[in-house]
Amino acid sequence: MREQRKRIPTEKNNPQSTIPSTVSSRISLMNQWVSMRGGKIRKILLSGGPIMALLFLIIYLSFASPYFLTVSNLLNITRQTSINAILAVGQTMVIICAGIDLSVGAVLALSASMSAVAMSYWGLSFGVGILLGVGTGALTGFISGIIITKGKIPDFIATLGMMAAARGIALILTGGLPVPSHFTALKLVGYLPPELIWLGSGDVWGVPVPALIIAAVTILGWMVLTHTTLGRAIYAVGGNREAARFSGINIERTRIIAYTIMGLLAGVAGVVLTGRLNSANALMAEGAELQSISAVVIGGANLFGGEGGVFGSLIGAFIMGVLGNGLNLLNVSAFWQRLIMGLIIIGVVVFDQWRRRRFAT
Amino acid sequence: MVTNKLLKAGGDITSKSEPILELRGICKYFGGVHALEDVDLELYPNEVLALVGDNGAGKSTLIKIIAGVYQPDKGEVLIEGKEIEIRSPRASMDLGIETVYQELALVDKLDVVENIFLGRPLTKFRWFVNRKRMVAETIDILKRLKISIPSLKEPVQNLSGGQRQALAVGRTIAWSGKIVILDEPTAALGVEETRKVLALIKQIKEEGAPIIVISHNLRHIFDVSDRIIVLRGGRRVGSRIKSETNIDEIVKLITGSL
Repeated sequence: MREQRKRIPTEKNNPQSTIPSTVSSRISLMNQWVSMRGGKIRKILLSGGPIMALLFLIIYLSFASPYFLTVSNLLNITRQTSINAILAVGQTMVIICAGIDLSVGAVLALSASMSAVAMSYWGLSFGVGILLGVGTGALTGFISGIIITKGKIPDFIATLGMMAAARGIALILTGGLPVPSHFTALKLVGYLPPELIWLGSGDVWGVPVPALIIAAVTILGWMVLTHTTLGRAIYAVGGNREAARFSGINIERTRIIAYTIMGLLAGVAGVVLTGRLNSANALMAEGAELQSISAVVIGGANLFGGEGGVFGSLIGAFIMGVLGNGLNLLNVSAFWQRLIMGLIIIGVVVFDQWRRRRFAT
Repeated sequence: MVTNKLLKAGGDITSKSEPILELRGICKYFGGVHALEDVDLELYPNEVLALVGDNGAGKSTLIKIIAGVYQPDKGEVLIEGKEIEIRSPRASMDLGIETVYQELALVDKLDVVENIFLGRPLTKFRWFVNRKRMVAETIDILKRLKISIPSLKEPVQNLSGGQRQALAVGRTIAWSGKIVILDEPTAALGVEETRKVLALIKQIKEEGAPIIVISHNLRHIFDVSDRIIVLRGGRRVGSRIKSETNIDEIVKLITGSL
């Protein structure tokens, strides 16, 4: 806000200008006014769309269903949305970097399986199990990043491959059975520890733990994207890769880090989901990658890179969560829900494109 | 009066001062295409050196070698008499060479401040960008160069062609480059915008940095430069001090009818 008011010296202060100063100062004043007004209107239309859609949805559902606007239902929505929200934060970074990660659902399942297997079959402690799960996620993300940058493989293909591979490893690890289970070749050492269950379904003074995790992840993600050199490099790489290269930004490193953070967050989401379900399996969270991409796109990010933000994506995740919940409350059949969800994603993107064309100069 | 001053500056360039940048026998091949063949170039302190030639004469390739985007296949690069190798754009920048590319190296969706500091943001606590200081310095730079831009927070895609060009040129100043390279700084600009960019080039010269400028527009070249090097078909075909030549002769050198 403050910077906007600090105007750069205009023609008026420029003694060498050939235009009479009164005329030029009037022109520049007018320009300033127009750019200020235009800027504000544009800003609201460019970034306020998702939040307005969410508010509209909440207001509509509050009238349409008596159960919607209750504390227990809202907490329920938060729990359900938490997984997608955590993934969406990572996906935001990858998409701003002009990439896409299709492996997040599979990496989530692999991380979840890894930490659950470690805790219930290998007898490792809660802390080590969590670290192993989150570390597995980060490692897979790092490997994807290496394949994409060093191997010069398109993001889409590399992460598609990683998606299949990660599911495969998870299936091998779990033998295709839920973890913990009594029927595996491995000896069941213990059930999942209560701390893990607490992560997924506990609460602190009435606030669900997953909600706190969303808050922490979102704020950290926002900090990284807006206030660190890494975050700004991510925007530059996605916005104009050539310009980033010419200005000396290490593009490969930036992209690898974005994918690693994505993998790490998939690991976190895996642990939280295991806690909520009290179980992990190799096929959990199928389609989570598309859900997170949808949330990011609904939240206003540009799939071609350079544009987007963590808060927008969070709102995108909540739009999807609230919509799913609302359709359930309104007794819409699950078959129709899929159709409606699809139409809404397409509608939002179409609207978004129109908005950009209309209000970008 | 401006012209007189420049003429004088042009006259100051004598062989007795040491070149700050020197290229010797540079060759660059792209597959079978000989983009550059045994090209020499010397840049003296405080001069504006124009690089002219027809399309495909090798001007952009030559400056991309200085900027570290390409590595020469043969030849050597000397800065202040020392032979060096410029392996990357970063290495070039670290040597104090600031380049403004024809395809403006701006990130459209980022704002003015971020573009000025693209790739080298001012930091605090090592990992964090120091936005406050960057804003203050941007205001300072724009004021010094008399560049007027409506809002620092505006994504640069909303700026006019001239403002964008001024920004790209101004960025080189932010880094107080030892050597400034401008590739077609007046291409695709209006009359008034061109005038401003040319004024900016003179401003940079006054700040003391030698400049290499590429342009197709000989009138602009004659307006700002002190010396002109002509390339044709990847070879250097002539070097003239501006005050001792005219547009006609340069055109003949470019087209090869001399």
